[in-house]
Amino acid sequence: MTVGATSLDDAVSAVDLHLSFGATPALRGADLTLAAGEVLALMGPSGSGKSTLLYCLAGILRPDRGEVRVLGRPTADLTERSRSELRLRTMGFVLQGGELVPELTISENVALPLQLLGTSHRESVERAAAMLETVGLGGAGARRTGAVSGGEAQRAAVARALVHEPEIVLADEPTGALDTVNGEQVLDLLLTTARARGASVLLVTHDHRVAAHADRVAVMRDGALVPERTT
Amino acid sequence: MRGEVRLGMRLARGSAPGERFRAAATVLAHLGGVWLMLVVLAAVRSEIALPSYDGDALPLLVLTVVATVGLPVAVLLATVARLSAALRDRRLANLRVLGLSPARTRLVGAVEAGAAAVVGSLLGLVAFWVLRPLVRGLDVVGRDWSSSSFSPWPWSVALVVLAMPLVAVAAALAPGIRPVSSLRDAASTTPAPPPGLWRLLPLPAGLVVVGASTFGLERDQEVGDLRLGALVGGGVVTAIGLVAIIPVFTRLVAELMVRVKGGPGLRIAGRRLQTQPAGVSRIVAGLLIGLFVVAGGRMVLGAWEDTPQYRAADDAANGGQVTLDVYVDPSAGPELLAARLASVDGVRAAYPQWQLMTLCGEGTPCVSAFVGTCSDLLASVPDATGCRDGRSAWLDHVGGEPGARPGSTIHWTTGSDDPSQPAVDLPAPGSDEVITSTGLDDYGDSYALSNAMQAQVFIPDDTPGVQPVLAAVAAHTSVPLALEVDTATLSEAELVTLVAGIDPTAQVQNPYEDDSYDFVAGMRALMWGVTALVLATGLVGFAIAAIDRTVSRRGEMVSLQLVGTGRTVIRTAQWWEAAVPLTVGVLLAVATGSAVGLGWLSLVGSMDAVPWGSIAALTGVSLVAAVAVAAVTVIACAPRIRPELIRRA
Repeated sequence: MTVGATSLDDAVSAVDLHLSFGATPALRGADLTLAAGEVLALMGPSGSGKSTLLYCLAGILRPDRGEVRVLGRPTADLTERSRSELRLRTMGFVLQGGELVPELTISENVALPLQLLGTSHRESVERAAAMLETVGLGGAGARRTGAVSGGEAQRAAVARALVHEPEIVLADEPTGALDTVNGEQVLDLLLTTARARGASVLLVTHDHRVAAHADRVAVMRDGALVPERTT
Repeated sequence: MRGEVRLGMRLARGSAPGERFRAAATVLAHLGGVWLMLVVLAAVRSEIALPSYDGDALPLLVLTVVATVGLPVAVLLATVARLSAALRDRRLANLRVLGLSPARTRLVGAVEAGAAAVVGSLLGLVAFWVLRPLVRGLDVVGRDWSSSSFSPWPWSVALVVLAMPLVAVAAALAPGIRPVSSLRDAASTTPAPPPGLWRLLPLPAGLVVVGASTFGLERDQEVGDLRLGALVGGGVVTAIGLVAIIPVFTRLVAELMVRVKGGPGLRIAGRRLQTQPAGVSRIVAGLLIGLFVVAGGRMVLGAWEDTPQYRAADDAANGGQVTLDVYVDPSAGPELLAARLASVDGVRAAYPQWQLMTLCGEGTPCVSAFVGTCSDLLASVPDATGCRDGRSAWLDHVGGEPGARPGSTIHWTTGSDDPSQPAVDLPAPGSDEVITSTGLDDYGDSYALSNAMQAQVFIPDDTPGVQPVLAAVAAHTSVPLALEVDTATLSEAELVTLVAGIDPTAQVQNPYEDDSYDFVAGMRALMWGVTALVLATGLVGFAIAAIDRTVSRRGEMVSLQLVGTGRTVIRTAQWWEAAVPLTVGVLLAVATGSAVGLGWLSLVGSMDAVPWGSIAALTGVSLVAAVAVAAVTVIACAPRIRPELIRRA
C-alpha cells in the first residue's frame, strides 16, 4: 500500500520495503513519503515496525527489498560510509531517552554533529551556544548530562538534532520518557524550530496527542502502512 | 579526523566521577601492567644470566614466563578496557546513529581506549626506571638481583609499551559497533544459549594425547622427539580445553545450585549462572592458563629436584647437613684424622673411604670396591640393605641396571698398573649376594667420592689379602675421608680452617657445589613468583569486572529489594555467582596442569618425585584467594534504595 506518491522533491521516500530479522518479518511492503518541510507522524502499536522503518529511512538498516530515497537520491547502492555521511549531513535524530553522550557536557553534546562535520571548534561552540539559547538551555551548556532533568536532556537532544541545520529530522518517541507538560514543551520546541528552519520531521509515536501536532499521520500495522488521514 | 581524535580524547577524559574513575583505572592498570611486565622481564634476564642456564632453552623459558604472566595482565587490561561496556557500546552506537561511519566510530573508540592506555603505559615505563633501584634490592623468594643490572632487553621494553595500549584498543573495539542492534541489545536480557557440547572435547582429547605420549615407555628409555611433541601438543590442547570447558562445568554446578535446598541466594546465583555460564570465562581465562602453566611447571621442577646432587645440596642449604670429601695425604694417617675430626662438635661422622680397583681393558670391566665394615657402609649409605660383615657383595641400586661384571674371579689392585704394586684375586660375589639402595640411581649422579654406592662391590676389610693392597693405596694415593657435618653447629668455612689446622696438606671439597642447585632453586623461586603475579593480576581483573557488572545491574538489584529480597540474600547470591566459576576454574586449572606435568615426570622416569605438597599448597592458596576475591565482589552489589535507582529498576 502506498502512502503518498513519491517525488524527487520529497525529503525521504520509501517504496515497498521488506525486512526480516531472522524468520520474523518486521517490514512487509512499507511505502512512505515525507515531503520537504512536512511534519509526519508515524503511529502504530508496539511491534508494528515503526522504528524499523525509521532506521531504514535513515540508512542504518538496509532493507531486504524495496527502495529508499533521501532528498531524491537512492541509498541502496551507497556504501555504509556514504550512508553514514548522508545521515550526518542531512539528518538530525531525537531518540526516546535523549541518548546524549554522558561523558560530554550539554554544550559539547550539541556541538557534536558540527564537530563531526569538520566545523571549527570555535564555530561549533558558538553555534551550539546559540542553539541552546533557542531551546531555552542557555545557562545549562556547561552542565553534565546527568545533572539535568529528563526534559532538559530532551531539549538538548532537540538542539543537537537541529544544530547542523539538517533537511530531515527523525524522532523516535521523542516525548516517550517525559511527563505531559515536559513532553508538550519539547514537542513544541522541536516542531517550531524545525519548521522555522524548513526541515522535514518524521515523528514516530504511539501517542495521539503527539500525532496531533503533525501535518499528516501515517499508521503502521504488521509491517505495512494503512491508509493515511489528515489532521 | 581531528574531530574524531578530539572527541575520543574528550571521552577518554570523562567528566563524572564514575567516568574519571574508569579513566584512572585504565591509566593505573596500564601503569601496573607495564611495570609488572618490565620487572618480570628484568628478573628473567637477570636469572638467565646465571652460568647454569642452558643457552638453548632460554627462548623457551623467557617465552613461558612472559606468556604466563602476560596473559593475566592482558586479560586485566582488557577487563579494564571493557568497564561500563554496555554504556560505552551504546554510546558508540549512538554516534553511528548520528551519522558517523563505522571507521570513524572505531577511530573515536580507539582514541578513547588508547589515550588513557598510552598515558598509563608511559607512566609504567617511568615507574619501572624510578623504582628499579628499590626492586633490585628486594629479596623476593630467595632471589637477589642486586648483582645484576636488572633491566629488560631494550626490544622487550618497546614491545611491552606498544603492545599494552593495543590490547586495550582491541578489547574496547572487539565486540564491533552496530548502530541499532547495540541499542536494542543494551536493553535485552535474552539468556545466552547453553554452552555447546564441543566444549567438552578438547580437554579430554588433550589429556589423552598427553597420556599417549607416555604409553609403553620403558624405564630409562630415551625420550624421542615424537613423545615430547605429543606431550607439548597435548598440553596446549588441554590448556585450550580448560578454558573451553569452564562454562559447561559452571552450568552443571548452576543446575545443582538451583536444585538443592540452599536458600534464595544460592538459587538466584544458580539462575544467573544458568543464564550466563560463559559470562566470566573470558575474564578468568588468563588466570586459569597461568595456574595451569604454574602447576605443570611445578611438576617439571619435581623432576629436577629428584637428583642426588640436588637433594644433597638442598640438605646442605636447608637441612643443616653437608657431606664433604677430605683428600688426605696417606702419610698423615687417614684413620687418625678421621678419629680426631669425629670428636669435633658438629661432625656427625668421619671415616676414610678405602677403595680397590680393577685394571680396565682387555675385556676387564672397570669396577671399584668399597672396603670396610657394614657399619662403614651404612654410615655412607643409610638405606643400604643386605650387608653382612665377612661377606662381599654387589652394590646395586633398586631399579637400576647392573653394570658389566667381571667373571668368577676379580683381580683387585691399587689402581696402578705398576706390576710391583700388590694386588689380590678374590672370588666375585654370587649373583644373590647383593646390597641394595633405593636412594641413588646408577648413573653416578652422586658426585661424592664419599658415597659408597659409587663402587660396584663391597669387600669386608678383614678379607684375607686385602690389607696389603690397602696399605699400598695408603702409601701412594690420597685417601678420601667422608665427613658428615651439622652445618648449624659447624660451618663449612670453620671446618676447612679446622682441617687445615690438623693436616695442612688435606683438601676439603664439597662435591655438591653445583650450579644446578642454584638453577633449580631459581626456577622454583621464579615459579612461586609467577604464581603470585598470576593470582594477583588474574584475581584483580576478575574483581574489577565483577564489581563493574554488579554496578551495571543495580536496577535489577533494586528490583529485587523492592519485592522484599534482603540485601544479605543479594550479597550471598553475588558471592556464589563469583565463587563458583572461579573455584571450579582454579581446581580444574591446577588439576589439568598437574596432569600434564605428571606426563612429563612419567616421560623422564621421575614419577616418585611428584611434588604433591607444593601442588596442594598451590591449590590451597589459589582457592583461598579465589574465595576471598569472590567476597570482595560483593561490594556495591546491594545498593540502598534511592529514587533514581528505582527509576532504573
